[in-house]
Amino acid sequence: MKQSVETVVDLTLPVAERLVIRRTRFSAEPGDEESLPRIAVVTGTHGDEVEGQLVCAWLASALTEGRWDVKGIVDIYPALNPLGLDTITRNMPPADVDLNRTFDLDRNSHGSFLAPVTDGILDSLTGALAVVDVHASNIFLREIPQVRISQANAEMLKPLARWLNVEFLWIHEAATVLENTLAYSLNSRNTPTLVVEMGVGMRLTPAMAQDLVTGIGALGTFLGVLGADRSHPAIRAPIESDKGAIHHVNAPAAGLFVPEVGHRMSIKEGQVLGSILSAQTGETVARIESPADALVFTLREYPIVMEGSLIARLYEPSAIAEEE
Amino acid sequence: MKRDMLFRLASPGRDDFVIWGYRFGSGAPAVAIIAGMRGSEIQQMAAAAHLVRELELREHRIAGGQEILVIPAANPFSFNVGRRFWSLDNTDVNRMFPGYAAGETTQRIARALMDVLTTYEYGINLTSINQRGQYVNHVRIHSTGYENVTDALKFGFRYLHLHEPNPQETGSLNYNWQIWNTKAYSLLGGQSFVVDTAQTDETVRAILRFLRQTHVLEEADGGGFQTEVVTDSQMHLVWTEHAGLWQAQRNLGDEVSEGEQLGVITDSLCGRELSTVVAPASGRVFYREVEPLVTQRTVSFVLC
Repeated sequence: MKQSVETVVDLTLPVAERLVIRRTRFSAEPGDEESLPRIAVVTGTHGDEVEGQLVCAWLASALTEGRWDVKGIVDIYPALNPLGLDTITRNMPPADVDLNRTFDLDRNSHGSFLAPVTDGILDSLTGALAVVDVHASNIFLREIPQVRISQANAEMLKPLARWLNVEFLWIHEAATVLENTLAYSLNSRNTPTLVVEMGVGMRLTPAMAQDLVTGIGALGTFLGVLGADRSHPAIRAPIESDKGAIHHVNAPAAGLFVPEVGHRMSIKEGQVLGSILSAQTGETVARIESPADALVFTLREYPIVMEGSLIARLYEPSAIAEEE
Repeated sequence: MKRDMLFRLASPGRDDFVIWGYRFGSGAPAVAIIAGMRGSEIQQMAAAAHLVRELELREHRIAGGQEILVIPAANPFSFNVGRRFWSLDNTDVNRMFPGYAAGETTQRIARALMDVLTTYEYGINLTSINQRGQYVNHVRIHSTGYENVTDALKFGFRYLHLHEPNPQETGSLNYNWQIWNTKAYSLLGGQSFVVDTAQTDETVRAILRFLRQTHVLEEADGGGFQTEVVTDSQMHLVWTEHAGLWQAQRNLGDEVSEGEQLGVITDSLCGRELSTVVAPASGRVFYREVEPLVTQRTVSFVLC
């Protein structure tokens, strides 16, 4: 196996620094790289999401230690937004633009250096058999390990996503505002791209990272990029959202949200999800009940809420249609 | 003039979030003017505040049966903490339209605004683009198939930018206003977090001109430009070849010739000239970068 660190994007910053986006390539040796099957893991698009950093680190070390034979190419991109990761900023400094809303954007629409960044990333990933795009929600919400799939791509992506060892596949309606994401752009180029959301912003959840590394390995094995996993793990079958209903629970009032259920718990209709308290008076401003027998797959992590803040997303297995 | 509380939201620790509207005249909802959906749009808020004062002085000249609404600051929370986007979660109110009354906070704000604004025949949004530089004052319309270009000429700006909306902009007020049958115009100009009083005055004069020409304001009219309509493809973006210290050498509105030098980039550490930026075509300066530090591949000028 050959290992190399390669530069994908290299732009000059104003003062004695370059903006460099790098990938680590693990490839079979010897071989013509052009003809080898390839998968890629990308993360660090939002600078306040670090769960993917551990996935990259553990995947790289597992490859180095020979957990799988490498028959093709595995590319690892730990930091698509290195300036954001350094500044704990979700958006890309200094323009304060969400990198994951600027792929394939008309260049007349923005004037920063983002176009060469996004073009460089897209060009380097196009043609992979699969790309796993790892996100960690944000600082407000904790997410079950899940793959999010637009209905338009469900047929192509669901068979791949089932290998990733996640707990949930959320098949959602296509949204116009998501058409400038990395995943949309790559899927439009017939490069299957799976968006993983797991954990919470600015923190690590090691067990989730471990499971996803196993899943990425299983996907690589399925696609002929990797040999069999020498640790022989079981791959879990995820719950698939199109077999039930999604409920969004938003805060009815402002205050301090204190949960009374755990993340990833199954709860009953009418069960109290949590309370909103006034720190000023101690008064309980609201008690929030579950609208259904359901699984808590998203739970508010950051306690300060305003009216409308998302408290939870629930999956109700028995219902048929998705509810907004 | 009547001041209305259009929306109110409690905060856990701050004062309530309140959107105030100023109504002039009475009768059919004729023109709504909104500014300050982002905390960086201080120039836009200042222009709207100036307009409130002007309309207060002219209220007796508003045509019978017509009402004008002005919302100078649709997002006071972001202004008061010096942030462009929503104070708690950094979401952009102007990408949340048409809004959702049972959704997240900024979706609820957008929905509340939409409920107020869609009844008006004309909608004017004083807004900005997320660029660090300066724009000339102009009117911008999203090309949706519902756009009304003819009435946009009544502002008398030098330029009307007919813009193809990108997917993100389908969540903007301008786009959704049009879909809900309001003739919608965005007025842009100036620089984020900065007030240029000459540009503010020009914006107020343009809105008053528009109100006269649409017969909402019964006053004699004059002035303004013969507006030139430009599309995205008629804008010439001038990119920097190097990163470093930036010095723009031409001003907004200047006429420049093809090949003319527009600015210079010098090495941030040793002061050596790295490159000059030259005009790729003849035209007028529509936008210029004003930040002293630029990255390689920054748009330094836009000419049209």
